[in-house]
Amino acid sequence: MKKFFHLWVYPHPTLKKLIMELKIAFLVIVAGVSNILATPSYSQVAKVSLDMENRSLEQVMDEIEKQSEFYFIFNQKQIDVNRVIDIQAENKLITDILPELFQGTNVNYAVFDRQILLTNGPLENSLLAIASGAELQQKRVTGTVTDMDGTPLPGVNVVVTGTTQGAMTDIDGKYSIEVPQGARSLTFSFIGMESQEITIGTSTQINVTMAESAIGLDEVVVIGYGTQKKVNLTGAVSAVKFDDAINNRPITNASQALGGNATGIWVSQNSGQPGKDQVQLRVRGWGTLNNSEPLVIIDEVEGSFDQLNPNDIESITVLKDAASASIYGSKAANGVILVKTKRGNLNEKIKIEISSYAGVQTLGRRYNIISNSADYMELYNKALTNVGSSPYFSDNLISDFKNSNDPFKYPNTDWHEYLFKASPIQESNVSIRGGSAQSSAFLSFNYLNQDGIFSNTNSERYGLTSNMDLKINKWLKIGTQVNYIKRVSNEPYNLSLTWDMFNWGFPFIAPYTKDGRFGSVQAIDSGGNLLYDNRNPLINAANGINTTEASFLRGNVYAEIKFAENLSLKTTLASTNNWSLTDSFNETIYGYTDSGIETLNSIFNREGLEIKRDHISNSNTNFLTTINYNKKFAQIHDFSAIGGIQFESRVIKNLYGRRMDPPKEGLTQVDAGTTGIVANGNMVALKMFSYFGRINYSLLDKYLLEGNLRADASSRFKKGNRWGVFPGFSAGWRLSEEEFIRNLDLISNLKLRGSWGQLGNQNISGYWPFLTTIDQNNQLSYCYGGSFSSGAGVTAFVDENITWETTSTIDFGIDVGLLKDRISIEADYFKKLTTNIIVQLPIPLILGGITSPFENVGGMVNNGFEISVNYNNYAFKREQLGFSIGTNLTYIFHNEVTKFLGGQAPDQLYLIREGYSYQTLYGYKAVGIYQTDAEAAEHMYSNGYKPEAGNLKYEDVNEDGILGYQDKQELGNTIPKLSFGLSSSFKYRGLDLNLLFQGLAGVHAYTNNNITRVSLNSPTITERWKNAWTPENTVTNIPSIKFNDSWDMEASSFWVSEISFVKLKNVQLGYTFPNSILSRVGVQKIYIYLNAQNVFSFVTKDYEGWDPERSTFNSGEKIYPTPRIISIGFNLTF
Amino acid sequence: MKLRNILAYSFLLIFLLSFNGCVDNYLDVLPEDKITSGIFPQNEKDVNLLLNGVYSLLQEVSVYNEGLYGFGVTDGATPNAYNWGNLPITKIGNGTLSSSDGGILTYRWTRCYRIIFATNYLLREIEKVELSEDIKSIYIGEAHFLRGLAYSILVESYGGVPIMKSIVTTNETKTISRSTAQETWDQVISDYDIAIEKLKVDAPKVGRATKGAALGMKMRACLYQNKYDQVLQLVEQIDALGKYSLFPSYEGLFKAENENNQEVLFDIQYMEGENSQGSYHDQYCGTALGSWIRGNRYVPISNLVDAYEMIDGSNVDPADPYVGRDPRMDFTILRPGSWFCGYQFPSYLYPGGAGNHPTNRIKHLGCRKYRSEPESAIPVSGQSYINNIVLRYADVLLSKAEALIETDGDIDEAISLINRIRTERVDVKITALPMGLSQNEAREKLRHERRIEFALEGLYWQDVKRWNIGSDLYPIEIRDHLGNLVDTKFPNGYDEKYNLLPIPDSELSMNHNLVQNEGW
Repeated sequence: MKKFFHLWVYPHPTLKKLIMELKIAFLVIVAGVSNILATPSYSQVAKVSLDMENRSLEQVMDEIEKQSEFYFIFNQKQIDVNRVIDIQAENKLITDILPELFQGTNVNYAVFDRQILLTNGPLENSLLAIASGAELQQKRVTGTVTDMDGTPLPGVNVVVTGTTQGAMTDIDGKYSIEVPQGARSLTFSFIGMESQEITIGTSTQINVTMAESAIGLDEVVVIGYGTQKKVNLTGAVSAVKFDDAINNRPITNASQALGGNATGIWVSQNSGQPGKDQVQLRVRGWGTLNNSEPLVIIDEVEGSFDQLNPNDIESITVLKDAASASIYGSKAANGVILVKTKRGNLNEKIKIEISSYAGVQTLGRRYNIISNSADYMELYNKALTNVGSSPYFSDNLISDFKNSNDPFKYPNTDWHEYLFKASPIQESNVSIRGGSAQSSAFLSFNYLNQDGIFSNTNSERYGLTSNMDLKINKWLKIGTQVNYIKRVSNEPYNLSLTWDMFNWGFPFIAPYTKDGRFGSVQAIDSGGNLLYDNRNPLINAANGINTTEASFLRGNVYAEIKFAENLSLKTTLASTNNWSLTDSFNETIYGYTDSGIETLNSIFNREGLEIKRDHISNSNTNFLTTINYNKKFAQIHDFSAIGGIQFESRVIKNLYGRRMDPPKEGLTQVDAGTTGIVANGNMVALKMFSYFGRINYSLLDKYLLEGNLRADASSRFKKGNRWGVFPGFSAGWRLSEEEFIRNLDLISNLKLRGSWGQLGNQNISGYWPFLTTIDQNNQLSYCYGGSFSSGAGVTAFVDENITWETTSTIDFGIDVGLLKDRISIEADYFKKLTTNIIVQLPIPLILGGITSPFENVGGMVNNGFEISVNYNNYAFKREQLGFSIGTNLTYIFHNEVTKFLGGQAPDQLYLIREGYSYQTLYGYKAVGIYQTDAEAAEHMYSNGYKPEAGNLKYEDVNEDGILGYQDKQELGNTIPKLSFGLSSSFKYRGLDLNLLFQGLAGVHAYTNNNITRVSLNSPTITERWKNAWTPENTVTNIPSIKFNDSWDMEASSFWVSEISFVKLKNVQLGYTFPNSILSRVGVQKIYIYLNAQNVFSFVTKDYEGWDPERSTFNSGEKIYPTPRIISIGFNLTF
Repeated sequence: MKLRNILAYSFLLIFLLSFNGCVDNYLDVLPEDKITSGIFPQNEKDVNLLLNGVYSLLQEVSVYNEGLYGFGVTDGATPNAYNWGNLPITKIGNGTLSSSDGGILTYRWTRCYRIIFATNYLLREIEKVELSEDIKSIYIGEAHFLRGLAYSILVESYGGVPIMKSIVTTNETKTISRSTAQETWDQVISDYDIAIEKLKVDAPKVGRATKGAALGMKMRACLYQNKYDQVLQLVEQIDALGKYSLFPSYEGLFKAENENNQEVLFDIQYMEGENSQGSYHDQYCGTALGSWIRGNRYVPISNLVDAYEMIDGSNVDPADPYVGRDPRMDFTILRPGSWFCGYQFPSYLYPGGAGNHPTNRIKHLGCRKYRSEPESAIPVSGQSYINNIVLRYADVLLSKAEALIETDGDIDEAISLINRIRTERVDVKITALPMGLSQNEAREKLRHERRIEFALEGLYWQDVKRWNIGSDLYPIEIRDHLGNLVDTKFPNGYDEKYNLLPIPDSELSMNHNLVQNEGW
């Protein structure tokens, strides 16, 4: 705003053009004088205090500009700014100061609002001279302002460039403005949009398309219990806006949207099962030894992503450092995710949006399981003979399989092909938003129908949202929010066993018989006996059903009272309730051999026929009240404060009933059962009470300070240990407001941030960890002479003094905007130290295997660095190519357990030990394969078990000739070092293309599971075992194939894979119809698109498993793979 | 503006209210399904709950025998049987165990100590309750009986172990050392002695420990320590109770309808129904019947079948090997041609079900002892309801015989005791052993008789170890019905370190004062 003055101070030749515009601006100002003077202007209110002696005019003017919003406009040739002046003024109006300032000079002055015009001639003449004789005539310009999608934008500021003369667009995005004849251009500006300057020329109608700015200086970010301008943030905060690029992805759980879109967050979708596909979110690493889930706050109240229709989300903010999150104190140690849902605005034109997509889901990456029966049997026999057993499958049988093409009699089944299928997904959403002068509303209805890629799994979801705000009078505003979601998910009666059957499945089982019944084992000996029991997974998939009906209802009421201009109070009562009802029953289903022998699957319905119902009700009540205060003192001290209290209560009740042996199959209600009656019911409860507050102070909009404090009391702890107090402080320095930066063209925004804070955690599985209880259940009971006798006993130890776990975080960050914020960079370094971690340490078994107590004994550190770089090349017209590219990267270079059992943690595969990264893979290092028995005997000369040629050769670290715990070493980390995302979008002539890549690097997974290992318990064999070591095939890294060989199955580096990957998470190609067509059909926007999700992944070559985006804390079996989804859809706005 | 002021004051009030004691009251929430220690135990009923809680531990996996997988599964560690699959008990049986293996290694250790913890807890808490001396005395007696039982299993399996006579802190358990085997046995005996003193001849409820049970278990403890004089004294005391004798039917001894008969000194009680009061015997010792109820994981092997004599003392006819054998064979084992639940074994009672478990070979032998019959009586998983006998009178007789032989006493009396087993029951009548045998011959006969009489009851493992005969027995090949080799038990001969199990590795890593058994 003050650039005119500084143009003069640092004259710059390339800015001549701007100086010309300045001249014209003068005219405009003059033209507007009458208007401006008619209203009570700034100059009549703003007061300035000066106490300056022996200063130049320049310094005085400078001081006035500092203290106020005035700025001086003059021609440098006309005014002597070096003139020395003495001046004293105490709280005086500018109109009183100026006469004193220019007393005895030939300078004339005039004040127009915030502009002070100086000239050495007669005022009007001078202006006219500058304006080169332009005429003082006006014309009217009208037009419509829309966003990139063609939606009209109300409330856009339209200003004659360089003046205060302006107008605002109405509800239809239309404006009308008087423009003086000489005016060159109009400036259009809107919060969150890139400002635009449009040359007027001779046109009287100017329609403008506004483009979103990457980091608009005015962008407002949701923070704890409020909002803040992004430029004023001092903490580490990531924001994700739910724009079209995200909204049109086939996101079945809102949490999936965060993947690859924000720094500091590791998003891993570990399951693709419909209805159970919420992702695992970790903010800045794995923070603690127990629950590391971040806190999710939906419109100020704790919630879960399961309870959201993704389409209702307006934005998501992630509070990463302790200072930002500490206002949420006790639950915020693992980060806070704030979700803001859409609401209507006052005076907003009613807008109806309809969106819908349909897609098809398919299985992506798969295991390489041998599906050729003859190959399989040969390897199987070899795995037996290698351990000294006789072969199991006869040569005749193998050659029958080799020589026959009969798929029913001699099948070669690849179970992927039968258990998985291409399945449809479909979602539709309708929303209405708008408002009158006194009320506004947002209503939406959502329907999602997803069939799973795994047989007989599916989910259906309905969602209804109604947000309403009422402005009762000048000081009272109330609002409500009602959100209802119902989700019905189905899976087979026993999904886990179905997975087992897949893992145990043989290629020689026919999926179906000739006549369409389920097939069975076709490996039959000469006596007609089946060589194996049946493991046809399709039978388990078809067995009964397990239906979960989850209903979620949230009701919020709030009232906001304005006691004074700068003091208000908001109180919210929220009730969130979850009811989940799981019904299941099973059936008797047989499989048949080609010859018609009836078989039952292995361990099929081991409990017999049963009917079960499980009901869980989870009810939360929140009452919270905040008082807000803000005031600006002496123009430069900006102060705001918030204080609040919160009551929170959670009650979870469950009821379970089961009966067995219905008189007839197909009856599905518990009452139908005749025996085996079981009824369970229980309740747990948690209550919390909190005080919290925050103070923000900013000086000159340059120096920013923030302090937070929260005190929480939890019923999880004993009286006396209940309270935890969590402070947080942060500071920021907006360097870009300093003169030495402000004048660099390159840098448009520069801010340094620093913060420190402490957060608490009490999120453990137990609700009363301090209380010794005596358990009573059937397992603790006995029977005498055939009659039941209840028993009881202590089953868990407690530490009565358990209290809060604390995380302290230090964060240093820098925000940079370059080239008018076209390039924006945010970088943070953080150090997160968690102490007093509540953990159950292993205790000696001579305590009887009683559950160990929760104690405050662990420690963990996470140090990292995160950076995001975005480039946005704005395009304001359809014909321009617009593109943006953004990348983000989080590097946790130091994750370490700092305290746990004094370093004496037991050896285990997923090692938790002081000095190691959390859950480090730990075991033997395979360094090759023994080529001869002699080599093995020489290497492991003292070992009790004698390895042989073909066995893995493990590094004998202490060289004692025995494989022992001393030889175990670190095999890889399971906490990813690097997580990154890359997104880019291109827009041209209505077409747009969005790409999202996501990946991990520096992470390992253990892969020894039922599918990959060679075991009689889980007899699938993967293709790589065909290359197993034999005396003839010695150049290989695969040991000889042996069933149940404990040596090779030891946890070792042979079973560890790096699973660094890059995944094309999403690609979307869309088209927005031009306004010319839309206006004819009376529609504001039509957008159609084609989307592909989970398109492909590049992963380490030798990784065996499903999609590499998976939990790294298990071996990767029984994981429901995330599907590849190709969808087509449209958005319609009226 | 008036309303606005009212609102302002009411919120101010809420803020102020929260500052006084209301918050603590608001936060007082307690579980409503569990008894808390502050109010327990208060009366005899509560003490009884705690006692039942200890008894329930007898049903746990690996406590007395390898419970979960069927009573007597520990025979899988002997030449009597084989546990298919790569379980720790299999590894104990074939010499491939490692101290990091879990299974029975950690379960037995942990759960015996659980009994010790629970009895110590009971003994401490009972002092807080007002009870008549009579009643209290029985509870204390039972607690000591059960604690003695736990220590005896520990010392049999691991040798000397840490001894805890009362509740100790977690920290103490991290530094406690092993007592010697002798000290541990002494603890066993002293617990049993208290039980013998306090318990009555008949228990308040069938199934609870009696004076006879305590005497019997002490007798076994003495036998296992080779304290034969004491064995003889204890047998006298047992007989003096006049309560125990052989049950007329060997076959009937293991049937539900004959539970708690005169031969039983102590057993683990199970019941039919839905209260999780059953064992998994019918599942894991199954016979390929149906889908789930056909697990045949734990199976007798030919070595045991071969051990059964002919009724008339003649040699077995290789052409017709199952005819004319000691009837206990068919009461104990299913062999080719046996009828079970209306099916003839092993003709693949259920198609494709013959195999089922690891290596999936068809098993031509199966377990009959303690099995539920007919098919309709086979319960769902986890609910085999036939009581498992821990100590029966036949053991008293054979222990006396062994003591007589080992003390080089009246060998003929010993032989006549063995002959009672061979001839006294209505369904077991085989050639009586001749009198006038030497000590060595008599010892041979006694050991053979114990193996046969208690086959698949879980006693043979301890017998092999205390007689130290492992090196005479192995190697033993395991073959399937076609004669194919499945596995070899101790292919390089028995390793004497197997006379004791290793202390679980995890336990050593947590307490550096614990010393591992030799050889492990």
